[in-house]
Amino acid sequence: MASTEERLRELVDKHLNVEGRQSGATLDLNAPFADSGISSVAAVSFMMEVAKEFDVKMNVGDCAQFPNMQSLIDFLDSNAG
Amino acid sequence: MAAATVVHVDLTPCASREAAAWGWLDQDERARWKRFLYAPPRRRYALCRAALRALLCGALDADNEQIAFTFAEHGKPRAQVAGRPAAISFNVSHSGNHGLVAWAPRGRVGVDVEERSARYDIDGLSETVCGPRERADLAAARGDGRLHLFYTLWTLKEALVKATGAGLSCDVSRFEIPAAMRRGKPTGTFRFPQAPDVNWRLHNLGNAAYAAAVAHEEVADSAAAPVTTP
Repeated sequence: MASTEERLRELVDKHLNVEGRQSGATLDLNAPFADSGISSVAAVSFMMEVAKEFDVKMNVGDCAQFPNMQSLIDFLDSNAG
Repeated sequence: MAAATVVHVDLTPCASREAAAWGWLDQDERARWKRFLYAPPRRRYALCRAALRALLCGALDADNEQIAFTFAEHGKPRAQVAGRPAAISFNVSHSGNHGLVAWAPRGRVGVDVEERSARYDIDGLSETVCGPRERADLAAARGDGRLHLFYTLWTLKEALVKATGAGLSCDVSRFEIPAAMRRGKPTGTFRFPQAPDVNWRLHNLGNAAYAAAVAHEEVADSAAAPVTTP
């Protein structure tokens, strides 16, 4: 089974609209989301896709809880169903 | 009477304007600019921050070199002039080729702009960010009207939570935009259920190119003040 990181990378390529990033480009797990210039709509939309894929409950306020991809991976590894 | 002023910033790519904008930034801002991973957010940051600095210089009668920024808990910046807190509130938002800078001499202010995109799952997003009456209005809307209404609600909500400084750490599905504004009225007043003593003046600034909104806290001499958009 694919790791949390691999599943997230796939979601990023499919669903996260980051202007300037090439699909499949290297993803720095520790780079702050804020440094990607992701819009708030894109961030909340991505969070919804993550919740669906990993069967976890997340609300809009959770967007601010994860400063980078690694923190999201850590949360999902502890909470995903 | 103290009004909120909102200025549009053209963020279309232009090397000479970007270079000029970069020249307005201080050392910390240039470091922030460098940390962006991609060119588009770097451009938007430089152009919006330079526009903000130019506006603050005029409003505060200060030189650019005197202006610095500190940051509140959820990252909302505050201005300082020559090391002292400036008596002004401001907020910045950008999306695609559009930036907005809002400022007011009194009362907190928040602004949001979004280029509308049909690529997102509006139904799913509505479940996450809207209250029950907002979802009912969205369900009743058709075609482009639905997309426009969703972005109107989004920008009004985000302008409010940016004005308070909470940003998206606040669950925006727990409050609703006034019914008259959901049905097209461009202005309205709002109170958070958990803070009913504070009145917020809302203004829908959306047009054909983008959705946008500003929220301005009503204080003694800014009550019912209009929003000016030069």
